[in-house]
Amino acid sequence: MKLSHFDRFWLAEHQRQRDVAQVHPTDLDQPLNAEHSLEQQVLQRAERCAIQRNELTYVQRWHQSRRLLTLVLGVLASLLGIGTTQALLSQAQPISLLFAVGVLVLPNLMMLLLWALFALRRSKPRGITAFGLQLMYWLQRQPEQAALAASWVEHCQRQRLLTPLMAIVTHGFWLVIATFSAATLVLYLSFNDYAFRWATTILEQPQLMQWAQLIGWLPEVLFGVAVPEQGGTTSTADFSAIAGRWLTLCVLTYALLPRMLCLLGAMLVWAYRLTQLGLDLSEPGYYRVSQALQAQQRGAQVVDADAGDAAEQLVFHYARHGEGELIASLDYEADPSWNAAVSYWGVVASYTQKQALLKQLQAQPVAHLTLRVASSLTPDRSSMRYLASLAPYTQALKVVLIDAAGDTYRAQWQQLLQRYEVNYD
Amino acid sequence: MTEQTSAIVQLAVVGHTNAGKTSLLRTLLYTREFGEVATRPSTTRSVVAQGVWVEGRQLFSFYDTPGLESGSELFAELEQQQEQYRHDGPAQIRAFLQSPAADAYYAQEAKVLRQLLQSDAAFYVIDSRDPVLPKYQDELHILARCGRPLLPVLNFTASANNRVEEWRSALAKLGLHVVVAFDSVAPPEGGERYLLQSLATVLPSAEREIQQLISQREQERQQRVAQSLTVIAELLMDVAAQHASIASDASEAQQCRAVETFQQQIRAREQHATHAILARFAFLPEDALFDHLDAAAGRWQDDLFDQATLKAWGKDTGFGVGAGAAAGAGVDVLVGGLSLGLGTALGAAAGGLYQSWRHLGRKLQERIQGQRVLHIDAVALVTIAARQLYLVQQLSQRGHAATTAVNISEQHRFSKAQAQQLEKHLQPLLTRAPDPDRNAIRRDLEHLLTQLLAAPA
Ligand SMILES: Nc1nc2c(ncn2[C@@H]2O[C@H](COP(=O)(O)OP(=O)(O)OP(=O)(O)O)[C@@H](O)[C@H]2O)c(=O)[nH]1
Ligand SMILES: [Mg+2]
Repeated sequence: MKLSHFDRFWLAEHQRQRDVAQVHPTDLDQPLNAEHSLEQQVLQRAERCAIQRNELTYVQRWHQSRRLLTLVLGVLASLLGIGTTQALLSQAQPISLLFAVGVLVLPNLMMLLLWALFALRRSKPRGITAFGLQLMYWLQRQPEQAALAASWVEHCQRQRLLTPLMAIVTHGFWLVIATFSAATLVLYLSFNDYAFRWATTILEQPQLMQWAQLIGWLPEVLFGVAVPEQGGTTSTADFSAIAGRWLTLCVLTYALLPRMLCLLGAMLVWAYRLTQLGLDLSEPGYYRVSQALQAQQRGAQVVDADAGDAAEQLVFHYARHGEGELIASLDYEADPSWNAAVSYWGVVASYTQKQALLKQLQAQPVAHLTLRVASSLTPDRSSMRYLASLAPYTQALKVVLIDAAGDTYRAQWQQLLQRYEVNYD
Repeated sequence: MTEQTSAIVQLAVVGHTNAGKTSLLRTLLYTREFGEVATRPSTTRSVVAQGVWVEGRQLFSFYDTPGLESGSELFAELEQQQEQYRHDGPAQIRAFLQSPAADAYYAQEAKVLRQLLQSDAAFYVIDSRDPVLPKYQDELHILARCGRPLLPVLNFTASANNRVEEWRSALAKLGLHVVVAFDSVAPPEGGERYLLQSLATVLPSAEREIQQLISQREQERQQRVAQSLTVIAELLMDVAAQHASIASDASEAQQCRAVETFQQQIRAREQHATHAILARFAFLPEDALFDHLDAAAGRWQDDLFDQATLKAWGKDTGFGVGAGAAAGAGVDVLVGGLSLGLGTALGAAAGGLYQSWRHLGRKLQERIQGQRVLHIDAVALVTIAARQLYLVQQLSQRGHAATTAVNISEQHRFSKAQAQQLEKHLQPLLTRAPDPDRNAIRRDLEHLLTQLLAAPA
C-alpha cells in the first residue's frame, strides 16, 4: 500500500506518541538511509514501525470508513436539500416569496455566521466534524485503531490541518444541501406551475418591499435580475414565472455561492498546508529519536589511533655510590615560605636547567636526591622520564609533594611514583 | 570561493595533558558522552573527530588530541635544525613527522602535530591555575611552528587560584592577543558565543560558518528552555488533575495505603518530567540528585513527600496542610467530592455541554456514596514547580564537561503571591472543573514559569 504524504506524517505523529511514553526508543539499531535528511529518516522509521505492528491495514480501514462516512453525510445532505424544497413547494399556493427565501437561505446563512464566529476560533473538533469523528471512533473501536484515531486528531491539530478540514466538511455539507435544494427547485419550477406572491401579516406593504429590495440587491448586481413586482402590467402568471426565477437566483446567491467560495478557500488552505507539512524534531519524542539517529550516524570517529604500546615502561636504576645530598624544585617552587637548604640546587624548569642538573649529577652522583614537586601540577610523561633519567646518579631518590590551595593531582602523582617504587612524601 | 564555502572547517583542540581538552569539547559539542575525561594524565590517546551539523549540512569537524607531554625535549631537538627551516615552520614539522622519533619517543606529540597541520585552526587549552612554565612555552613554540591560527583558551577559570592575567601577558609576548577565558564545567554567561566569535577573528575565512553555528546555538538554547517549561507545565497539570477516590468508611490503614499509592504515582510522574528535562539539555538521568538534608533523621532525603522537603520548599508560601490520614503528606482530601467546583459545573451544564453532565453525575455519585477524593495539595505542587525550575536554571548554566550531578537541595522558594498565582492557574484541574481548556492553562503556566525563571523570588 502506498502511503500518502498526509498518512506518513500521521504515522510519524503516532510513533511519536508511542516514543514519548517509552523509556528508550526501540528498533533504532535497524539502519536507515543516512543520506536522507533527519526528518525523512524519522518518517521512514515511523512507516517501518507501523508496518511491523501491522498498522497499515488499520490506516486503510480508516480511509474506507472515512469514504463511507463522506458518502453517508453526502446522502443525508442531499435528502435534506431535496426535502426542504419539497416541503416549501407543498405549501398552500400562492407561496409567500419572503417565506420561501427564508426557508431556503436563512438556515444556511445562520450556520455560516455561527461557523465564522465560533468554529474558526478553537482548534478542536466541533459541530459536524465532531459528529463525524465520534462516528469514526465508533467504527474504529479496537484499541490499536483508537490509538491511531487519537493520533490522527493530534496530527491534524499540530499541522494546523484541523481548521481547514473542519471548514471543508462544514461547507461541503451545506453546499450539497444548497445544491440539491436549488436543483430540486429548478426541476419543480420547470415542470409544474406554482403561484407566488408577496405576503405579510404584520408588516406594511412598503416595509415588505423594502425587505424585498434589500434581499434582491445582490442578485441584481450579480445577475441583473430585478426584484419582481406584483400588479401593474404584469399578469399573475408572468409574476410567478419571474418570481420563480428570482427565487432560484436568490438561493444561488445566498446559499450556493458563499459556501462554494468558502469551500474553495478551505481547500486551498488545506492544499497549501499539506505542502507545508513538517516535523519539529525538537519536540519530545522526535527529539530523542533524532538524537539517537545523529549519535549513530554522526558519532565520533577515531582518525589517528593509539598504537597500543600505551603504558610506557620506565626503568629506575639507582647509583651504587654517591656523596652528599641535593635538593631541587621541579618546574617551580610552590611553597614561597620554604627556606632553601644549603644543598638546594634551585628550580629546574627549562630544558637547559634540566640538562645542567643532569650533567652535574653525572659528574658527581649524590647519595640523596630530593625533588620538590608542586602537586597542583599534573604529572606528565616528560616529568616521569626526567625522574628516571636522574635515578642512575643518586643512591636514593625522593619526591616531596607540595600541596597548595585548591584541587591537587597528589593522588595521580602518588599512583605513578608507587608504580616505579619511588619514595615520596 | 565555492570550494572554500563548501569545505568543512577543521578545528583541532590541543594542549598539555589534563588541561581539559576533552572537557572543552564536551561542552562545545553539548554531549556528556564524548571521549573519556579523567584526572589521570594521558587519558586521551587517539585523535578523535566529531562533526557538527547546522541545518543538515556538516560545517565543522572538531578533533580531540592526546596531551602534549614532552614539549621541552621536542622543542630542543627542533631547535637544532632551526637554521635549515628558519622561515618555514610547517616544513620543519613535516620533516620531523617523517623521522623515526615521530613513531616512537614522540608518538603522542606527532599525532597532535600531524592533526594540527591538517586543521584550519586550533584551540590551545591551558590550565590557568598553573604558572607559566618553560615547558608550556616550549609547547607553544612548537605549535606556532605549524603555522596555523591558535586561539588560547584559559580553562579552570572558575577556580579561585587561577592565574589568568599572568597567562594573558605571557601569551601576548608570543603574539597571541586574542585569548578566551572559559571554564568548561561552569562556562561563563555568553562564554560560548564569545569563544566562537574569537575564533572568527583568528580564522576569518570561516566567519560565515561560525556565525551560522552561533545563531543555531542561540536558537537551540531558547528552544531547550521553552520546551523544558512546557514539560514542567504539563507535569503540573497532570499532577493537579490527578485524583483518587476512597470510600468514606475506609479504615485508617486503607486510607494510608491509598495515600501511599497516590504519592507513588505523583513521584513517578515527576521523575518522568525530570528525565525529559535532562534529556532536553543532553544530560544523563544520573545528572540530577533531588536530595535534602533531613535534620530530624540526620540523613539525605530525596523524597518529594518528605515532611522536611515540603517544609523547605514551601516555607514562604503560607499554605496550611490537610487533615486526617493525608495530613502533611502533600495530599489534600475532598469530602463528598461536591465541595468544590459545583458552581462551574452548574454553569457549564447550563451551557448544555455533555462533559458537564457527566462531570456533575460523577460528583453527585461521589456525594451520594460518601466518597473522599485525594488530590495533591498546594505545598507539594509548589515544591514540584520550584525544584523543577531550579533544575532548568542549573542545567542552562552547566557545561557538559561536568562530572558531578546537579544537587537540587538548595532552597529556591516561591513567594506567597507566586505560589497563589500558580495554584490559581491550576484551579480548574485541581477542582475537576468540566471541560478545562488545557491549552489555555498550559499557556498561562508557561508564561508564569518564564517569569519565575527570569526573576526568581
Ligand atoms: N573544575 C573544572 N574541572 C575541569 C575543567 N576542565 C577539565 N576539568 C577536569 O580536569 C580533568 C582533566 O580533564 P580532561 O578533559 O580529561 O583533560 P584532557 O586535556 O582531555 O586530558 P588528556 O586527555 O589526559 O590529555 C578532569 O578531571 C576534568 O573533570 C574545568 O574547566 N573546570
Ligand atoms: Mg582528553
